[in-house]
Amino acid sequence: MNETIMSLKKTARLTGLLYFISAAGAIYGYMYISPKIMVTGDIAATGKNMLANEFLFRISIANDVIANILFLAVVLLLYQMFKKANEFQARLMAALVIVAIPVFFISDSISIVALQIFKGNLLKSFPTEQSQDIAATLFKISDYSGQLKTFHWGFWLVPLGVLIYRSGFIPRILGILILINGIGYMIGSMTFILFPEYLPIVSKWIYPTYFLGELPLIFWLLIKGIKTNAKLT
Amino acid sequence: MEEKNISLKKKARFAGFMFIIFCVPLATWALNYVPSKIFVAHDAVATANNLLANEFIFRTAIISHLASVLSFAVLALVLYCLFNPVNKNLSRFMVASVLVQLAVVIVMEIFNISALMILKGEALMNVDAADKQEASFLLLRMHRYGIAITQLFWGLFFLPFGMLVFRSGFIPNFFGILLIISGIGYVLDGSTFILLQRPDYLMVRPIVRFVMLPGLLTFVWLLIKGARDPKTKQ
Repeated sequence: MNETIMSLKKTARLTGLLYFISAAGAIYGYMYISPKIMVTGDIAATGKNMLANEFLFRISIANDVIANILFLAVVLLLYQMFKKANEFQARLMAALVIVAIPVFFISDSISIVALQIFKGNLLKSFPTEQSQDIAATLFKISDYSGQLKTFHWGFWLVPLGVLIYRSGFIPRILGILILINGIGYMIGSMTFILFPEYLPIVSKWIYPTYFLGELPLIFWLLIKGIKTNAKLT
Repeated sequence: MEEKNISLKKKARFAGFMFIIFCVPLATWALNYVPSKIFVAHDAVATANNLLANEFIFRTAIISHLASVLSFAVLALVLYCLFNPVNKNLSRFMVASVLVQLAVVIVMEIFNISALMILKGEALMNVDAADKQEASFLLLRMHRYGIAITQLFWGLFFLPFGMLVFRSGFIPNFFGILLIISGIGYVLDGSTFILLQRPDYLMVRPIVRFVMLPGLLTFVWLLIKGARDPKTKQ
């Protein structure tokens, strides 16, 4: 009995560590690098920023790729942890994450193409204005893909939240927070798709939930692992 | 034994419920109804005008397509639970063919939303209106082609599904055969779309189209009857 708890704790810690690295990379990308490059509504400025911070931009892509590969490991470890709680939910969670990962790679490759066009390596015979326009559009497309993926990203958190709630070895409140976080993502993404004009208002309310669910879980897994007095069935 | 049957029945009912209440209506809305309102063949200008006039339902089509593949994923995993005892490899193959479509569909919907954004002037800002319409038409076409290619995966879903139903013993064999025919039909539909010239394809299409019915029939049966007692078969 004790041994299973110890091994589960180890798995939980490892999950927390990988989750932390992956999330740190993603947050660094979204919070630090994107604002430095994207200028809404101004193609020329975006292009200029992209060229001026080319290395940073490349780092953000490498970052994204690594974060996603790590996340693959995270979700498989989570599956390992929770499959006893409910096999169906655990499978659903893992499947939803695994299939979303190719989409990240596609949007990254679109971003790389945008960079190459801005640099003048592609679409050489086009007038600069047009080629820049196309590059900015590609960049936008990869940005939209982020919004659509968010819908998906909210959906996988639902089984995770349910699993945490049911598992008995992680505080239930974390499960509830994860559920709220997941629903928040879905609402945010749905607003973007259906009512983009309300996005600024809605995201003001939704934004806090983005940090409410996953981050506490990461730190809990990293620091505590699982409840020491957990009753495993 | 009795209890096992009840849970089998429950899962089968749930699968039928998911398919009929969520998957089919959402997919039909996104892939048949909304495009029929917006898409005008060979006419980028008319399509663009329709798209802007029906912007909101176009947006709902994007959401409902995403939601429909997500519910298909849930459905596939329920079917996996149901058929795993029958044959592990086949049921894995069945689930995988559904799950891989999710990524494809997200990408296709990115094309759709980009088409809308281009028309609304959020992207390709310096291009004149006619070119914008062409570019957005191109993206809409890419979406359509992508959907056509996912038909192949539907075939690859229905083939193992049919084989599993045939072997299972708790769903009439008849449905298994129908599903296999349906699977072949989907594969044919996907491949004719890629291989044949457009007029040829349009001639074949109506014949191939009705193969989508067996899947529906099977799930209606699952919803109404659940799974039957395996013993009664022998």
